[in-house]
Amino acid sequence: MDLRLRSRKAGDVTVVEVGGEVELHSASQLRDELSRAGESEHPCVVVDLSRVSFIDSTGLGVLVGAFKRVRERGHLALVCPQRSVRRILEITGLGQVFPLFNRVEDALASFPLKDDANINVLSSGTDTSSGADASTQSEGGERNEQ
Amino acid sequence: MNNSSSNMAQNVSDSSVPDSAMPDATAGTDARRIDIVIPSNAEFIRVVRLALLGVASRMNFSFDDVEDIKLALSEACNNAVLHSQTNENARVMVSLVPYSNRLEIFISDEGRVPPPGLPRPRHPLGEADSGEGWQHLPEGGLGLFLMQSLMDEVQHRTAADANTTVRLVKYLPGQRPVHLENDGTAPASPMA
Repeated sequence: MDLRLRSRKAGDVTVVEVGGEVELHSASQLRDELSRAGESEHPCVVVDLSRVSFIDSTGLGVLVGAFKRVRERGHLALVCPQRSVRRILEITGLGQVFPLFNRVEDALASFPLKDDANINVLSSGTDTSSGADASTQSEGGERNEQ
Repeated sequence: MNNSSSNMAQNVSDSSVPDSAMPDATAGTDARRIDIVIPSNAEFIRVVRLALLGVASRMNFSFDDVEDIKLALSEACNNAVLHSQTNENARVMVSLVPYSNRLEIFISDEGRVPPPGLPRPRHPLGEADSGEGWQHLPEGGLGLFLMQSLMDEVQHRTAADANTTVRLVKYLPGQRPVHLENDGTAPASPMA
């Protein structure tokens, strides 16, 4: 199955959704996508591997590279509920390095909130009576914090 | 890294795949051998994985075993492709040989440059940074480690013309010979 990539914003966090096979042939695409996701001054990145059917050492190397670069200035977490992927992470010892979660929501909740983001939410005049979710860590696309 | 010696394959890295174990040695006597030939291009390695699934799923391997073999085979194919980069018309030959107690896999490439010692590929993602803790994490070179961790036997040989053959062996549950723990050899008996 070809590699599928989609990045979206959940507040200040970039969620990179990965599907299909992450292998020698396709790993460079993931590398480029993660490089873009980690471009901000203080990047917060969640790599969602829930729909990954296969990953090899090339793919693992891309994740390690992204982790090392993002870690210097921000945070990166992996979402991988599949036992097959978790096994390989454990065998290589990488399971002890990456923050691992079963769901994107849990990964998002693990990131520290930014003080300025909270101020933006309070001053935006969001109408909570309409049921709009003003949380900076909610899923579902971009939120207008202005 | 998890480097439990009890789980690592008997990697006879400096000794070649024995002549008697090479797939050509058993040609004509191995009716169940499946050969796959692909261009030396990473996009075709998935074809090999699909063929492997077709063979391994008919044996009494567990789900985890099949996943392990699939990954180890992919890693060997990755090495073969990377090793053959200087040869435009190179192919990768894979032989799957199911026996009553194990599956043997041979991966051969048509590389023209002898690998330095073990078949460690020139990783396209570059080298790991030096430093402390997570900064020491390797970004490349995990392929050979995975092969050794996931398979029961890993052997390789490089011919004078720089063609390399890797032999991977996975025993069915409960079939791994006790003496393999000592001398790393396995009986060469064809599937009945």
